[in-house]
Amino acid sequence: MKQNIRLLIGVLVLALALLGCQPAATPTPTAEPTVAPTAEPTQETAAMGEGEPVQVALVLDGAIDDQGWNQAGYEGLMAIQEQFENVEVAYSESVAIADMERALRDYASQGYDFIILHSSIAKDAAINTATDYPDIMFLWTDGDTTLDNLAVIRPMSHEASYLAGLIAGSLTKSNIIGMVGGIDIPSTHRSYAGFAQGVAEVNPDAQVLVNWIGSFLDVSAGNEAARSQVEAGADVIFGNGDGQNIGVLTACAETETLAIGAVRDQFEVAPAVVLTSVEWGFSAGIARVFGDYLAGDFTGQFYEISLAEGADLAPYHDNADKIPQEVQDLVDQKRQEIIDGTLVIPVVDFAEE
Amino acid sequence: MANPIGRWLGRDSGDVAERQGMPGWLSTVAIVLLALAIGALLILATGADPVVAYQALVVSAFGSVNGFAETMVKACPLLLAGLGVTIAYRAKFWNIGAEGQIYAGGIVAAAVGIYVTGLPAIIHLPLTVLAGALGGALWGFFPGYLKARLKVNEVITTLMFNYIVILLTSYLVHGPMRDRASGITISPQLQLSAWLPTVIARTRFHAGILLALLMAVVVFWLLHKTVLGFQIRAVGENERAARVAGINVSRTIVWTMVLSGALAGLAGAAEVAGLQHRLVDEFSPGYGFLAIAVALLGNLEPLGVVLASILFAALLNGADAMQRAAAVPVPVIFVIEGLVVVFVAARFLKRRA
Repeated sequence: MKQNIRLLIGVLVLALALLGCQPAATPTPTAEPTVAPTAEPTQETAAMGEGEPVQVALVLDGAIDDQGWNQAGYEGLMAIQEQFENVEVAYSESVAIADMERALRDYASQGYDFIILHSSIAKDAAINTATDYPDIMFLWTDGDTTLDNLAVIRPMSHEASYLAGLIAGSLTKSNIIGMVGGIDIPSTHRSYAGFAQGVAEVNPDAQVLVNWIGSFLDVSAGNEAARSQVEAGADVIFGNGDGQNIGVLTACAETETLAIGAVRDQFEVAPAVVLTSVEWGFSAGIARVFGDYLAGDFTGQFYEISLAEGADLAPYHDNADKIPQEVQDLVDQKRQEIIDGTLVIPVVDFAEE
Repeated sequence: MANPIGRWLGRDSGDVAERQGMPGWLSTVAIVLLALAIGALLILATGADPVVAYQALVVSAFGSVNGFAETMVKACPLLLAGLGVTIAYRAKFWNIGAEGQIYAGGIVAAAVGIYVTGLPAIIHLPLTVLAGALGGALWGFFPGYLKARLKVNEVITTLMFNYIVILLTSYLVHGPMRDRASGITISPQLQLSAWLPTVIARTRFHAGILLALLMAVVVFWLLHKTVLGFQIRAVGENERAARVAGINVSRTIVWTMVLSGALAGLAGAAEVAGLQHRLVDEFSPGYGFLAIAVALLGNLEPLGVVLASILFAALLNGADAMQRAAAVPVPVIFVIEGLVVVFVAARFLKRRA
C-alpha cells in the first residue's frame, strides 16, 4: 500500500514535471496557417514575378503576438510580404534556444532563400547554418558576427532611449526612476546607457534603479522587479527588453506608475500608464535588408538601424497630456539634433568593470 | 522464449504482467497506436487532414538526410538520459533528477572543454566526455547516498537537485563563465580539440549519437550479463529478498544512482561537446523529464528505450512539419506525447497493483 502511494506520488510528480517542461508554444490559429500564402497574384504581379517565388522564413524564440520583441520580428516578416511581390513567407515561433539551429537547418534544407533569425542569444545557430548553406542568405536581427551570407542588424536603440530618458527625468517627482531589463547584453545595455544619459541631462539629482532579471521570457520576474522598484519609490519605470516587459508594464498599470515600453510600440499593453516606447525599428530594418537582397546588394554586413530609419520614440497616444509641452518640445529638438548629426549619443555596450 | 522479439523488447519473461496479459512490447505498440489514433481525431477536430499531417511528420523526421540527422540529434539526449532512468527504475529508485544530471554533466564537460588547453583531441575529447559522465554521476550519487544511508525519499531529493544545478548553469553563463567577447549570456566555445566530430557532413549528426547507441548495448550487457546488473534487478524486484540473499542493498542503490547519473551526464556532455560547443542557459529543454517517459515506454529495456527515444524525437521534430503541411496546431503534438505518457503510467501502475 505504502509502495503504491509512493508510486502514485512519483507518477504525479512526473506528470507535473512533463507539463512544466513543455515549451510554451502558442497555438497558431488555424485561420492563419504557418505558411501564409502571398496575396492572390494579380495579372500585373504575375507578369512581374520572375518564376519561382522567393521563400522567406523567420525563426522566433517567443510567440508572434507577444506585443514585444517577437511581434516586432513578425511585423518585419509581414512588412516583407506586403512590400515585395512574389514572396512566400513562413515562420516558426516559440522555438527553444536549444532548438534554434534545428529550425534554421530545417528551412535551409528545404531550400528557403532568405532566413531570418530573431534571437540575440542563438549566436552559433546563425553562424553554423550560414556556414553550411553558403547559397542561402541569412539575417540575424541582433548579433555581433557577420559572414558573406549572414547580415546582422545592430539596433541603435540608445538614441530613442536617450529621448525616453529625457521624458522620465522630467516627469519624476520622487527623483527615483526604475529600469527593469531582460538580460544585460550589448543591445539592451546600449539602450539602458542612453536612457540613463537622458535622465541625467534633465535631472542630475534623479537616481536610476537598475534590475536585470536575467531572462527575456520570464513575465512574472519582470512583474516582481517592477513592483519592488515601485516600493523603493520609483514613479517612472523603463521596461527594457523582451517578453518580460509585459510583466513590467502590467505591474506599472496595477500600481499606477508611469511606464516606458521597448522594442515596439507597447501602448496597448497598458494604455493608462505607457507614455511612449523605445522602438528598435525591426520592421523597417528587416524589410530594408530584404530589399537589398532582392536588388542584389546583399553583402554580409552590419545594418545599423538608427533614429528615423525605423528606430524611434513611439507616439504618446492618449498620454500626451501627461507630458508637459516644454518636455515634448525638448524631445523634438534633441531628436532633430541627433538626426542632423549635431548631437551624438555614445554607444555603451558593456558595463564598466 | 516463444517470442524472440518479445525477448529483446519486452521485460524478462518472468514478468507477472506479461504472464497475465499481452507481452510488454505488444502493449507498448498498442499504447503508441492508441495515442496516435486519438491524436488523429484531434487533428480532424481542428479541421486538418490527419493523413497529410502524419505523412508530413514521417517525411520530415526520416525523409531527408537533414531530417534524419535532426531526429537522431534529438534522440541522443533522450536515449542517454532514458538509459540512465532505466537503470534507476530497474532498482525501483524513482530518479526524477535526470534533467539535473544532464546539466551537471554539461557544466563539467564544458569546464574541461573550455579551460583545459594544449591537449591533443585524442586525449582532450575523451576527457571532456568522461568529465560529463563524472558530473552526472556526482549529481546522482548524492540522492543515492541519502536514500541508502538516511532513507531520504529520492523523489523529493532528485527533483529538488534539478533546480540547484539548472540555476547554477544560469549563474555560470551570466557570471563566471560568460563569454566576455560577445557579451551574450553564453560561455566561450569549447577548444576545438574537445568537439565531438560531425559524422554526416552539413548536418548536426555528431559522434555523440553513436556513443549513445553504444551505451544502449553496454546497458543491456550491464543489466543482463553482470553481477551488478543482477543485483540492481534483484533489489528492484524484491528488496527484502535481495537482502536476505546477501546482496548489499545500500551499496547497490548508490551504484545504481552513480551509473544512472553518469548516463544522464553523458547526455549533457554530448549536447555541449557535440551540439552547442558552449555552455548555454537552458541547453536541455526538459530532456531529462521526457527521458522518464522514454524509459517507461521502452519498457525499461535498452532496445525498447532506443526505439522510444527515436519515436519521441520524431514527434518533437515533426510538430513543425505537421504545422506547415496541414496547419495542425503544435499543441496537438504535445497532447499526443501526453497521451503516451498517461497510458504508459497507467500500464505501469496497473502492473504494480
